[in-house]
Amino acid sequence: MVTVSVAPVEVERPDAEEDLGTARPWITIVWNDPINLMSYVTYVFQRHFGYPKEKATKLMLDVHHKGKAVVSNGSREEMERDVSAMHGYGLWATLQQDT
Amino acid sequence: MSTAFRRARDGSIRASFEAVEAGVLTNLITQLAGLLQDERGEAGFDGLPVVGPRIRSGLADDLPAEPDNGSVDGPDDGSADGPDKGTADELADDLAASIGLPTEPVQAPTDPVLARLLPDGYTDDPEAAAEFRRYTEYDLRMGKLSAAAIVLDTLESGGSIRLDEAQAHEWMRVLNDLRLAIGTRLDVDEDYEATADALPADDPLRGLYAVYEWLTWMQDSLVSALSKGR
Repeated sequence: MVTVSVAPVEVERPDAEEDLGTARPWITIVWNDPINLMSYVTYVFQRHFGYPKEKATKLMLDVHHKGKAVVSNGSREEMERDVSAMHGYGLWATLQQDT
Repeated sequence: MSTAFRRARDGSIRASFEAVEAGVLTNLITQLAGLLQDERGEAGFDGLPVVGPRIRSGLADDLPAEPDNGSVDGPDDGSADGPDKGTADELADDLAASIGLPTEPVQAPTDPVLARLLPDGYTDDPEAAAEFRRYTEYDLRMGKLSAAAIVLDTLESGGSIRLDEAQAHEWMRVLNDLRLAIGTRLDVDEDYEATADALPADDPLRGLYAVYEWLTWMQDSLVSALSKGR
């Protein structure tokens, strides 16, 4: 699948230097909700992250049964892009620093 | 009766809608767009497009401008300010405003449906959540509004519709947003069917539950059709 990278808007962050050299990456979490269809959530994970169907299905089931799942990790900026994309699909996603 | 979405042999995505179903969808999408375009001016976003049937009619340009609801931040004294006035900060704020970005962090919407459509990006850091909204919420609203416009354009007044991949993708997102909006209003949970069944036969909410189930059925068929690939 061809993916198109869109240049992110550069946002100045006073705490940007904290992100450098940290051992703790940022993570994107998708939370369970009673409205989003299981088939739809799986499809979104495949389409946005390029995950194979098995991995997308497992993450969807984690969301459904455990209430949430970590769906990606990386820099804060990357996770903000993933969270924005999930919101675009109507999934309930947040980012935070890994604990 | 509508037919579910399916992948046709030529790779397109097809479905059909009765005129009355197309009318219901158009009505729901127009309401959704009204919420997203911030018609009450609560979020402080300028320039979000009005999406609704009149856009499709091609008459939008002939309609009078939207009445000023007085909630948009204007110059203090009500007169037009020239670009020569103001500090670099003010110019930066003007620039942000001119491309639709608010000049302050943005709080979560108070309406539960909007709050579900435009959720917080951070759970435990209100400051970061407000900053995140400031930089992303306008685009999120725009994305949902442009998807809504594509659905209205391709739905027209019903009948058989034929979608390419990109259009079908937007349909999927809009059907989901409609389900989020109605599901939030109905406060659905995993057992909502029992709640709906327990309603008196003449309860007006029964109709809304029926619409929710119809949207669920349509969306599920569309996800399935899209998953089949070309």
